[in-house]
Amino acid sequence: MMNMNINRKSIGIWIVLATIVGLVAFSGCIDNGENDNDNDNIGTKQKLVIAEPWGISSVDPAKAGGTLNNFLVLETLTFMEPDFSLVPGLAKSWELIDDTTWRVHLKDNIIFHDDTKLTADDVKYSFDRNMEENPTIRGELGIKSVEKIDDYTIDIITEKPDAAIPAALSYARAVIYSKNSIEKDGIIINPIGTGPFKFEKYDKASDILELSKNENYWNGVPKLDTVIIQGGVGEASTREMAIEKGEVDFTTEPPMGSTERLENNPEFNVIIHPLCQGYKLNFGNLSKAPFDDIKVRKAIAYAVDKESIVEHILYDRGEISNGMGFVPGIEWRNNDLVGYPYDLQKAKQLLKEAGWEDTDNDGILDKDGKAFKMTLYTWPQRPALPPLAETVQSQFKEIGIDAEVRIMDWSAIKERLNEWGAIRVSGGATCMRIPDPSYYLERNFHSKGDSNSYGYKNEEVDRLLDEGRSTFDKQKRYDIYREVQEIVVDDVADVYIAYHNLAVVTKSSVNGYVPNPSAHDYRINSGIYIEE
Amino acid sequence: MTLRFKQNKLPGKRSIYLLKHKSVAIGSTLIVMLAFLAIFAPYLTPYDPIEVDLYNNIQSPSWEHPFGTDNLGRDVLTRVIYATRIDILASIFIVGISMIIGISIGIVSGYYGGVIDKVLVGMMDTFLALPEIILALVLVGALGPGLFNVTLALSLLGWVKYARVSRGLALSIKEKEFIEAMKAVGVNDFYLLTRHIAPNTISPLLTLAALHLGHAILSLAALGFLGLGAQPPMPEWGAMLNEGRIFLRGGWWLSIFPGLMIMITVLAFNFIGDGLRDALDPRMKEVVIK
Repeated sequence: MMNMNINRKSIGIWIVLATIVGLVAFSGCIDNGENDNDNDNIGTKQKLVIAEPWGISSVDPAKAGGTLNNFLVLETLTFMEPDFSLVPGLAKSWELIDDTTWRVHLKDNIIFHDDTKLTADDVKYSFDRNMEENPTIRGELGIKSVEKIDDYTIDIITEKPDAAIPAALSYARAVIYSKNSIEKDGIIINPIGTGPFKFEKYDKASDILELSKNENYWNGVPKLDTVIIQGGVGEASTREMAIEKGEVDFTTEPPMGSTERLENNPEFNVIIHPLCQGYKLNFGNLSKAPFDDIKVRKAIAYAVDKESIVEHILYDRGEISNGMGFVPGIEWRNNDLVGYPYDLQKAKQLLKEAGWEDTDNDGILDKDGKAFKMTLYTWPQRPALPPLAETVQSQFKEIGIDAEVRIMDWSAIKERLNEWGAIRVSGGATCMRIPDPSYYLERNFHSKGDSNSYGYKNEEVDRLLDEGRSTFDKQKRYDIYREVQEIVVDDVADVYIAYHNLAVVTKSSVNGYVPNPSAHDYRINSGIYIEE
Repeated sequence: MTLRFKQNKLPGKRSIYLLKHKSVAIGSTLIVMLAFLAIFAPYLTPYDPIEVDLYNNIQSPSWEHPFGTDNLGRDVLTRVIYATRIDILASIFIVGISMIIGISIGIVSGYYGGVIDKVLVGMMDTFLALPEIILALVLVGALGPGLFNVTLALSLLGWVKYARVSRGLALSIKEKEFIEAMKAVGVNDFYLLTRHIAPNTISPLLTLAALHLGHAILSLAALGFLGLGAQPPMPEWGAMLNEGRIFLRGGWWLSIFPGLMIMITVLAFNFIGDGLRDALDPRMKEVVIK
């Protein structure tokens, strides 16, 4: 009897497995309430349904400020334009009073979604709450406290002289909301903001967020009546199915290989635009062999064929980097840098100079009896990363480095970066969360930077970064940050391979989307409308 | 089933009968073919299974590449063939280790009885209560992903079935006269267990083993599909299915062929298992011998 059971079970499991592919690919069933269409009135024509890759999970601005800012519910004191420039937002102007105090003047005509006026009290409430509920926001902003001067004026006190404050005020998580926002057990469940769209409701179980038009928006009334966001559609192929089946009107990042097919279909618009994001190799530990040797790092930088990666792994949705994370068009970018173009001869030469030679003729370099066997770690959530790691592996083979690819969870990789020769193949880090170079450069290359877990330390870079942050003269800051970029690329602190271009797919009836390279992924704009 | 057995009166003819059994014949033919692929893999295909050729990626099936090429330009046929080696060898390893652990625990439990038996049976029941794949996920999560770790985890978890069956067999064998005779002349327990009881449990366990082989391949493929098994670029059917999944719309051949191979292999082992059960099931045998 038992044998029979096992037999039946294994056939059953086999059937399950054989259909897994189909299930995953065809499970794009997104309930967007389209059945309601028949009962609705004229307004429903201007309705946009979005399939969003990330889960929403909360509408408390202290936790989900970035999401609510991205969908234009909550706004910030200053705005970052798609060209990375800084413009006034809810604040009309700002000035430096003394080294550690910025005075910010608020616009006096801003009305919240509940028809109350925005005042300094709301701004202070928002900052205090954001920084208390979410300590990382405090760390990222570098703000000590916010003081009310009068109804439309506040002072921002910083720990140290900080030239990046006006830019930091545009940070998507430094959102402003009314102190009348509805709380339940200390968590905001109905955020009241100032943006073009009003919060209507959020259903946690289905992860669906509903927004409606703000008729009184201070900066031009949006064209859409309703925006419905289905969160947590993490699978690229599921998003692709959802838009092809007509369940959603707008989505992002279809599978890399599918963009061409979608572009050729007249039912869809495919908009591909640069983002300040990209793919790079992070050396696990820069203070340990073999990567403590700059020649080895340079050899690795030369050995990566960036062109073929952009063409075949990113399907031309990318651009070769100059060795630094800033994409062309950013004013802070050092355009004189050229990075490390693909050059196998140079790579081999550098490794030889560093003492790595194939003495036992097994095709793998060795030095003092140690073979150059290392590991490339990467994670599976970004679809381009595993094939990218495999490609790098085969390119390393050309210079005699034997690499093993290991795909695991992001957090599990962190613990393994101290292994001999570990490299992390990374993607997705945004270079301009705020329109100031300090954010990216300090986090990655200051010896105390949040993202500098690989131990890059150059005292000159540390000094320049501290100086740049506290220098208020813009021209001087340009020079400082250009020099930082030059030193960091010369040091091969990491190997920046290519920038990533984002793809947005909409139904062809969706018009008016303005690509926004400064967004974390994509960002909607109030000019979007539906044309039948 | 019993009726068919009645034609097979002479035990010596059982092996010939086995091959006449339709499902065994089909299963064995398939396994011989798969073994051929696994053994002669390097001579069957001119391509390298892991060499990346980006300029030839996602080519549909052609004369040059009968199964097409994958997203990194590797020949899918070559990878499928090399994966046969990895999947079949790993599943044989899993079944072998499971059998050794299972039989050891089972016969000790059945032979000694008493407290030892109670403890060991309790352990088996605990393991049986939890789904194998979930336990494997937990173990692999702790050990870290990789083909070796997955194989190890599945080997350590597959023993329960063998232990239960061999315990039952040991219970009846230990009552037989020849065992009592040996005890009487002072043969020690270790010798008895390893030379006389264990060998007598093997033939009834073969059916279980054949079915377990198919099951092991499925578990390997499932864990590979989840990214826990073989790490790229190692060709493994489950991992290939997963890699091909995101290209399903533009390159069906990336996942269809490894999927077919899993299907064929599991079917082959199940066919053999079915046939073996018909021929070797001890209860069936009794019917025939009477």
